[in-house]
Amino acid sequence: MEISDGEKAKEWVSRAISWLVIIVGAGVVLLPFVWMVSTSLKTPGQVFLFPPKWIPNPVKWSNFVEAWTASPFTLYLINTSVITSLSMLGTIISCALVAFSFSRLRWPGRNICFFLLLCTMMLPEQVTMIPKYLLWGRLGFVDTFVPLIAPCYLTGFGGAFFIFLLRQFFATIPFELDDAARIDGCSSFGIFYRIVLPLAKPGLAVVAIFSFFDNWRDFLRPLIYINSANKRTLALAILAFRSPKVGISNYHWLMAISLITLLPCIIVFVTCQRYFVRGIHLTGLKG
Amino acid sequence: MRLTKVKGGIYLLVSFLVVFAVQSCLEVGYSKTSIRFVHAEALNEEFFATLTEMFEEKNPNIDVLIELVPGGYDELMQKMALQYTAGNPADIYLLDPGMTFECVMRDMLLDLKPYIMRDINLSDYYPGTFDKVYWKGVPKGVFPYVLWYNKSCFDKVGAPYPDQDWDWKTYKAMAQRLTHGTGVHKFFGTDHAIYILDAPQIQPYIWQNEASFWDNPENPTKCVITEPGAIEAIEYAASFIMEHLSPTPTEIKGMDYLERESTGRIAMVPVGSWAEPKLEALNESNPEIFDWDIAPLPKHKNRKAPIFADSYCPMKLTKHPEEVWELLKFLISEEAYEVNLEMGVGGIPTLISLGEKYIQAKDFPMHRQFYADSIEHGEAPVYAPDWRRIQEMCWVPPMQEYLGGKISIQEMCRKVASQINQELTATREELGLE
Repeated sequence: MEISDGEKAKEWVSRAISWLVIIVGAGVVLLPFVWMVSTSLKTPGQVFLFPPKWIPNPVKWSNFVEAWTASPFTLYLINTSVITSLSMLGTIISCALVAFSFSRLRWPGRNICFFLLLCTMMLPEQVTMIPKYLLWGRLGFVDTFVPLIAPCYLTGFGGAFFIFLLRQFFATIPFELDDAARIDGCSSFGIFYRIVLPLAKPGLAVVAIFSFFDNWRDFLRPLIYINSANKRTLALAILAFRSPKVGISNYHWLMAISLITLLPCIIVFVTCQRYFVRGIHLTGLKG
Repeated sequence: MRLTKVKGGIYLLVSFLVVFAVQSCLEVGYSKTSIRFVHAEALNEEFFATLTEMFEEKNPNIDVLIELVPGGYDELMQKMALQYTAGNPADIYLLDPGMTFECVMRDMLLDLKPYIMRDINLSDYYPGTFDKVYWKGVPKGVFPYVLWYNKSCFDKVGAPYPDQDWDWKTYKAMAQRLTHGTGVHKFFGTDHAIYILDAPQIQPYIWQNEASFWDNPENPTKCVITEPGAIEAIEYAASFIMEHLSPTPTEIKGMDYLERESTGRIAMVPVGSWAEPKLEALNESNPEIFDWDIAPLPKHKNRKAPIFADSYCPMKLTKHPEEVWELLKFLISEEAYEVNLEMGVGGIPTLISLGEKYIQAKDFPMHRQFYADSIEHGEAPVYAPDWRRIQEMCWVPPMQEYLGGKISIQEMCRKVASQINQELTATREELGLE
């Protein structure tokens, strides 16, 4: 069947409109980022010039070094990396185990427990903040990384969401594989470790990415639990550019540091994008 | 194989127990007293580190652990509330006046009167230094309110700079003269947007019109802004926004503090001396556009001006009141204030001799003597318990409605007063003050 010229023109117009909307949308989303990059390369006097100068002149690359050395940011980077990587690992291990149990093992009260788990997603972090602080305080772990990392090994900090996500993913893996493994003498943990986990890489990647973002950018929990300057995370250290009465004095430095700390997030997203989209797609299919 | 794993587990457990036991023994044997001091002044980290180092040198038996809460007072309040609820507050917090009042009302602070009377010569300090903090804290320094003005904007229209003779009428007329341009190229005569939604900063207008915000400044139980004098004063303060001589609060929403001033299109702004570092940096960064200086606040029936004081506040739950007092005494000593001057921390020392020295210390702003003038006529704004919440709920929405032209000034004041009184009564009952 041939498409008439009128229909072709209609399709062309509709595509052009779609592209235009996408380009404008992308522009709106990217504008703050462009401002951030531009400001990170400006001198203090150029930051608030009106009308704004989008291309800094002179370009001040030294802002990155100056901002980085204004505080011990290397230490903060190490702190954040330690917390993020250990938390990520804990989240993957604990959530995968629980999700496996919910999706592939049959035990009494499973659905009720899963329902209760989902209910915890309705609880805002602020509600459980005081009891948790009391608990960690009594255990003597305030001003250590323990309250930031340990909950991840107990499916805390976003655990319910990750368990839900992985449960949906595990449910897409054929149950016949479990039966075959059992006939061959494989234990439940063996099925989890040798069959389900290798097949669930995209799902685990999604959890890893989300967990990375959550922990890398987390502000509230470090704010509450960390007191000492040498234990600060990047999120806390960035906010230290702001003072209560004066506000932010060094916007150019703030933007330079923000850009540096944003880089790992961008790299993680770009490199894991394939898994990310596939994981979301697959978990959504079965859900 | 399995037995080896069990043995390994037992060894690990025993090792942990030994480590904990040794650590506990070491803690018991540790004779130094540790004092925790929490503040939110990220830019003054070095200042506090220097002070504590000096203090520890003089008091080898006391360790000061500094905790910085990055961000601002909201974050500090959040952390303090959490630590207090958990029964583990720090020994000292550096608080703004509103938070200090809040803690006083909630009976969270240590009464310092006996210590002050014992160790301090009151005549060495500015009058009101301690009673304005209800004897439950010591001020880090005072921040007088002045009229900041950008000389470049005045020069552009050939207008005279503000001085001590300016009154409400002159100020308004000059704001009108300095306002010009349209749209994004508009230059504003003044900026009332940054504090019109913060009632304590409106109080000087009410005082200058010889009216009051509260029935009893010592212990406010009722908001009385329905009186004609108060209504007239609030109307005057808001008129700059209504007549487009100042940006509106909506226009500066999401902007950082004094960010609008950083564009060079604001000629005047009544604000505290805490603006000094930021405006000084602007002057240095672009002297052609910025040349900030100060004048006293324009007068009306009197010359009252607000002064704000951030204070070091000791917690009642502290286990080491004597050591805490030693530190507080040091923080307001000549030695500590000298460091304040050297490092340009801001806040005028409450010790008179050093306060005077501070005023003469440098050339920016050029007319620093007006700080002294403002202190002389200064009064501390009065807060109410749970003020942050009450203000967000009862002051901000009616003020925004008024600025939007939806209600009259009388209606706005009536609404504010009735809502505040209702909330205040409930809060006071909750605190057992009724």
